[in-house]
Amino acid sequence: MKTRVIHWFKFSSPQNFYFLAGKMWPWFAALATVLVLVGLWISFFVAPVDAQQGQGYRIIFVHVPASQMSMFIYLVMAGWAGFGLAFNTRLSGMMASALAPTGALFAFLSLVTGALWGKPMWGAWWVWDARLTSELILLFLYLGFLALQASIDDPRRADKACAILALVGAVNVPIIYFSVKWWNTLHQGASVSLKGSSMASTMLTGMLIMVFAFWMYTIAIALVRVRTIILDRERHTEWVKHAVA
Amino acid sequence: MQWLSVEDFFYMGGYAFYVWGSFGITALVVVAEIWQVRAKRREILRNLLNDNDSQQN
Amino acid sequence: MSSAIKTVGLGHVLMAVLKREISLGMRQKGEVLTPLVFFVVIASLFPLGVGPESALLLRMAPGVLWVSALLAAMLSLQRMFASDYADGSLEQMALSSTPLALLVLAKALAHFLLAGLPLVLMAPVLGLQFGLDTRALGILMLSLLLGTPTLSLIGSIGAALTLGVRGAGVLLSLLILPLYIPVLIFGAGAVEADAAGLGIGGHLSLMSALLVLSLFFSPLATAAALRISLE
Repeated sequence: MKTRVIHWFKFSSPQNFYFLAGKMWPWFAALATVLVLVGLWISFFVAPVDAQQGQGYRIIFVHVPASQMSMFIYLVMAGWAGFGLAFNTRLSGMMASALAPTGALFAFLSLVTGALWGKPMWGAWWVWDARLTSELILLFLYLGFLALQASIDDPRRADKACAILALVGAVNVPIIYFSVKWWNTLHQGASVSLKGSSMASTMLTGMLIMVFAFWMYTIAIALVRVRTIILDRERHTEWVKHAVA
Repeated sequence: MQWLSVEDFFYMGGYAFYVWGSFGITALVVVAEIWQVRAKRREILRNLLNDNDSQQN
Repeated sequence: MSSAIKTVGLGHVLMAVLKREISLGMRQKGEVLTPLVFFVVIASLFPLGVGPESALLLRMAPGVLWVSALLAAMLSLQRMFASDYADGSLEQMALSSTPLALLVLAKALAHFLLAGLPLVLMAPVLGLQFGLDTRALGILMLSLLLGTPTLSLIGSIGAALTLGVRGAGVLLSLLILPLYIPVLIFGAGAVEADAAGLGIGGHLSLMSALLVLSLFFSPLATAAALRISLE
């Protein structure tokens, strides 16, 4: 009896991954949709009102997932980048490029929702809170990655240069976070968080479900984006010509 | 259900602008991103089809 | 026929690179002095922007001087590799038997001597304009002395990544300014901490730690980036 062996490495070729991604992304999109609906339900109809922040705290149900994902995506990007540099695979660089815009958008969302949360709670549109400031710097790191990619014409060179940048950035993120945290405490800054009010378990559940929803969404969108990148980069190959026709 | 009425829900305890603003911009960004990804895919496909056609001619 | 090839020690190679960089820099005095002048001009812009109230300027001084020094140090980063890249000597360096990372280290050290050190020496003069006292000036110099080599080292990564790229100057700034932030925070923070009567030991040890970390890791990242740019 012959056992079927899946040769996973065949999916490191852009051609094979293109079709795999094509089959996978609808599942992640569906999962994301379901999770978002459940999460929104919990956010608005199950989670109770907060003692100190009233109904305004509900912003955490988008702010925290956006922050978490922006940081997580950066690490995954750096991971793909490192993998691509180590094994010289074309696809790894493409995956990093596919993830970057989503990560940047989540960083941006984190800042905007953070401002919308801070204004009613602390009276100012922007507070130099350690987490918000670190998020701002993370956005700069993303923008640097996207800018470097846009300015190098050769895609392979762009991928590799961005990979180094992503790795250097990833190593620096803890250092930057620590130094900003220190800077903030010395200057007695405000803190945008739910500290001081106990987190009801429903709030935590709602937050976690939204984080997962954002995660599934990220995977779906990155898979669709990488498919377009693959088509663009591999346009001179026969399989692309047939796939498109 | 903790909302006394639909108006109550939209009023969001006085935080309407901030809460709906946050969820609103999140939705907007997500929709925009999905649209942008699909538009880019259409553009690349169009370019590739044009290349194919001009090669066959 | 032996000894036709003279083996040169690693130290000699590094000294040779260092001397070369410095003599090249000395020949292009304008390129070396311009960032220094830039430092003075930027630092002078702040009082012009916020008003001459001495209490405010004194409060702002460490941050303003540090940011100005940081920007001035960044201005001359492109020089590190651009001209060698243009005339092909960078490729020769990459092909030589000396590890590229060590050559990069020598170049970064040269950058510190030509670009960073003048800032360290100029800073007290500017500090006087902001009303810093002698003790604060001393700590400012010390923090810059510890910080500017780190800036050169981290900056070399950006310079290598943007080699030969369109709009390299501004892109380089965007790439490395976020990475400069910890150095800025602890450098300016040291001067402020001392003014507030708190100890500076923590700040200086953190800056030393950043320096050591960048001494080890930046040359490796820069060398990798150079190889990518040279492909």
